[in-house]
Amino acid sequence: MIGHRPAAETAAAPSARVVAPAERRLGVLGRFAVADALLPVAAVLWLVAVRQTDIGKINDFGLVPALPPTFFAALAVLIVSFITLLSQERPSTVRLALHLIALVTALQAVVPLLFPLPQYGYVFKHFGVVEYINLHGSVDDKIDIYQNWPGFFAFAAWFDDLAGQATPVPYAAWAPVYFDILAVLAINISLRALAIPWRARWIALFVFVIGNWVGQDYFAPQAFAFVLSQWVLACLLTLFRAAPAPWIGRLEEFVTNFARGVYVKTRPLVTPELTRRQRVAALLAIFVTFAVITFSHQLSPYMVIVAAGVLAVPGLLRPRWIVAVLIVIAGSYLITRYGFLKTHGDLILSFNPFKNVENPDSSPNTGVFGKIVTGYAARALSLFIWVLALIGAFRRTRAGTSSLVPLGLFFAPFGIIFGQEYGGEAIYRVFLFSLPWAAALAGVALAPRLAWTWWASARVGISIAVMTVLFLQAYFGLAQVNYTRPDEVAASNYFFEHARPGSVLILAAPNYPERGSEIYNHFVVTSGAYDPKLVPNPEFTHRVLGADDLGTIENVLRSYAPHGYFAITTGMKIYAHEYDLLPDGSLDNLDQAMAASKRWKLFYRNGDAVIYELVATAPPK
Amino acid sequence: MAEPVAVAAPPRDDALVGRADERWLVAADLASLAVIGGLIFLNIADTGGVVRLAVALLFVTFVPGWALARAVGLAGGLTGLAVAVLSSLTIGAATSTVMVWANVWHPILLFAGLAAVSGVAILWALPPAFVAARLRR
Repeated sequence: MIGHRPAAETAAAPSARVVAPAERRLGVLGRFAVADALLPVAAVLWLVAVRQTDIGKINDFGLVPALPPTFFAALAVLIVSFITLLSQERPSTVRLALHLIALVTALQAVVPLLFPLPQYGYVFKHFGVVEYINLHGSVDDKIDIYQNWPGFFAFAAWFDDLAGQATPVPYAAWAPVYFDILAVLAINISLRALAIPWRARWIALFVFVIGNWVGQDYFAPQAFAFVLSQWVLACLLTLFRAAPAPWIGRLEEFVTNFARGVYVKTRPLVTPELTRRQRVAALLAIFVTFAVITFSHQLSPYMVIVAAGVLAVPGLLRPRWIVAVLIVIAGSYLITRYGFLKTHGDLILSFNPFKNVENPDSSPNTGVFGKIVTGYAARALSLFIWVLALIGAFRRTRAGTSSLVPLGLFFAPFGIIFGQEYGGEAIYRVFLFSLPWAAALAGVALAPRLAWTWWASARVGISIAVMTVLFLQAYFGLAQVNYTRPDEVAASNYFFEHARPGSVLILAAPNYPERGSEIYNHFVVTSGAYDPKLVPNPEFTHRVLGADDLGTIENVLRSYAPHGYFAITTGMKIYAHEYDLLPDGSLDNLDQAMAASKRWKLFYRNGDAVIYELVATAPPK
Repeated sequence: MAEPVAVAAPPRDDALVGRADERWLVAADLASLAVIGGLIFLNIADTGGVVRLAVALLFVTFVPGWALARAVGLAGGLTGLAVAVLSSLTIGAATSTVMVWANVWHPILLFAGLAAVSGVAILWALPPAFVAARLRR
C-alpha cells in the first residue's frame, strides 16, 4: 500500500483549506443542483446550434459568422452552470468533470459534426504515413521526416487494424476531443500535485481548454506527444516531487516575505512514498514513455527535458539523475537520425530566436481584415492568460504559497525558441507547453481566496466569457482556409491512382490534401514536409499570374523531376486570398493560361480542383 | 520584520496518493475484461463501425496500462488512472513501433498478446479486490 512522507513546502493559501477538496467522493452526486438542469439545457442548445449552422456563411472571419445565436447561448448557459457549481461548498467531481467534457465537446466537436472531412489539408500527410505502415509493415527513413519519427504513426496504424479502419480519415476529425480530454486529465493531476486549490484548479482546466487556440491537437504526432508529455510531467510531479534545496527554500521564503510583508514558515506537503517495486515501475514507465515521445515527435522531448530540468535544478524533482536519463534517451535517438539530420537538419535546429518565433499563420500583420482580426484575437487571448498568470503568481505568493514551480514550468518552454524553429511551429509549441501552467496561475488569479461571492461569480464569468469569445475567433477564424473540400480529396486520390510514378506534383499554393496515400513515396518527396509550392515564394506573389509564368513554373517542376503535374484548388485560392498573397482571380487566370498552353494537358478537373500534366518533353526556351 | 504567522499545512489529498477503493478497482477490472472480450469478438466477427472504433479506443487508451498498474500495485486513485492511461498509450506506441522497425508487422498478434497478458494480470488481481469490496459492503 502506498504510504506518505512529508516534504518541505511553503504553505498553501488559507483559502485552500476553507473549502476542502470535496470532489474527492467521486460518483456521489448528492442532492439536486442547479447545474443538473442547466447542463442539459446547454447541451440541447448546442445540438440545435450545430443543426442550424450553415457552413456556406463561413467567410474571411471564419466559422463565427456562420454560428447561430443558439451556439453562443449554449456556451453562456454552460459557463453559468459551471459557476453555480463553483459557488457550492461541496460540488461533486462528476458534475465538474461533466462540465469540462461538455466544454471540450462544445468547442471541438463542432468541426467533425459540421464538415465531412478533417480540417487542415496538411493532416492528410499523416494519413499517408499511417497507410504506408499498414501497407508495408515497416518504415523507410530515407523518405521523409515522419518515417524517421514513426511512433505516433505506427500506433495509429495498429489502432486502425484493431478498429477495422483502412485509413484514419473517418475518425481523425475527432482527435482534438480525444487529445484534449486526455490532456486535461493529466493536467488536473499535475495541478493537484502543485496544491492548487480545487476552485482554482477547475477554473484553470477551463482556461486551458479555451486558451488552447493554437490548433496543435489535431491528428498529429505533436498532439500525441503533448498528451504523453503532460502525463510524464504529472507522474514526475506526483511521484518524484521532493523538498527543494536549502538555497531555493531561502529564496522562496524571501520572495514570499517580500510579496506578503510578513514572515511565513515553510511547512510540509504530503507526497506519496513509493515502495522500491513501485518506484522502479514508475521510473520505467516514465522513461519508456519519454522514449515514445522521443521517437514520435522532434520537439516535444526537449520541452519535457526543459520542464524536468526546471524542477530538478532547485531539487524539487529527485533523484535529479532522472533528467540526465531523459537527456541520454533524447540524445541517443537524435544520433541514430544523424543520416537524415545531415541533409534536413534545418528542420530541427535553428539558433535564431527571432526567426523561430515567426509564424505567418498567427501573424496579425498579414492577410485580409478577417485574418488580421483573427491574429489579434489569438494574441489578445494569449496576453489575457499571461497577465492573469502573473496576477495569480503574485496572489499565490502573497498568500504564502510558493509559485516557483508553476512559474518555472510556465517560462521554461520559452527557452526552446533559442534552439528550434521547425517550420514556424516552435512558437506554437512554446505557447502550448506553457499553457497548462499559465492556466493554473490564471485559475489562482480568478478564484476567490475565501468564500465564494457575487464578485467572484462576475469576475470568473466575465473572464471566461471574454476568453471564450477570443478563442472562437482565434481558433475558428481560419475555418475557410482549414476546411478540406471533398472534391480536393477526390482530386488527390485520382492523382495517386493515375499519375505516373516518379513524377512531382507542384502546388500553386499551400492548403491541399497532399501525400494522403499509402503510395505517396512513389512520387517525388521533397526534403521538406510539404510538396513544392509556388506561393508564397516572393517571385509568385502579389500579382496576377498568367501565361508569362508558365515557363518559370515548368522550370521549377523540372528542377525536381523531368515529369510532373500542377494543381490548383479552391482551398489554394482561399489561402492566397486570406493571406493576401495574390489578387483575387489570379489562380483562375493561371488555370486559363495553362488550359490554353500546348505544353500542359488537363489531367483532372472537378468543382474544386484542377490538375495539369506537363506533356512537353523539352525544356522551355 | 512582522511577527511570524502560523498557517496550518494543506489538507492531505487522499486521491493524490492513491488509496484504492476496491469497488472502483473491481468495476475497472470488469470493464477492462469486457473491453478485451468485446474487441476479440468484434475482430473475429470482422464487423466495423463506430462500436468497434470506440471499443478499440478504450482498449488502446486504458486496458494494458490498467493491467500493469494492477500488477505493480499502483492502481489506486488518480495516480492509478494516470499510470493506466500513460502506460497504455506507451505500450501501444512502443510495441507497434518496434514491430515496424523490426519489419514484423502483426497487429492482430500484438493485440492478442496484449489482451492475453492484460487479461491474466487483471484476473489475477480481481478476486482479492472482489472479496475486499464485498467485505466493505
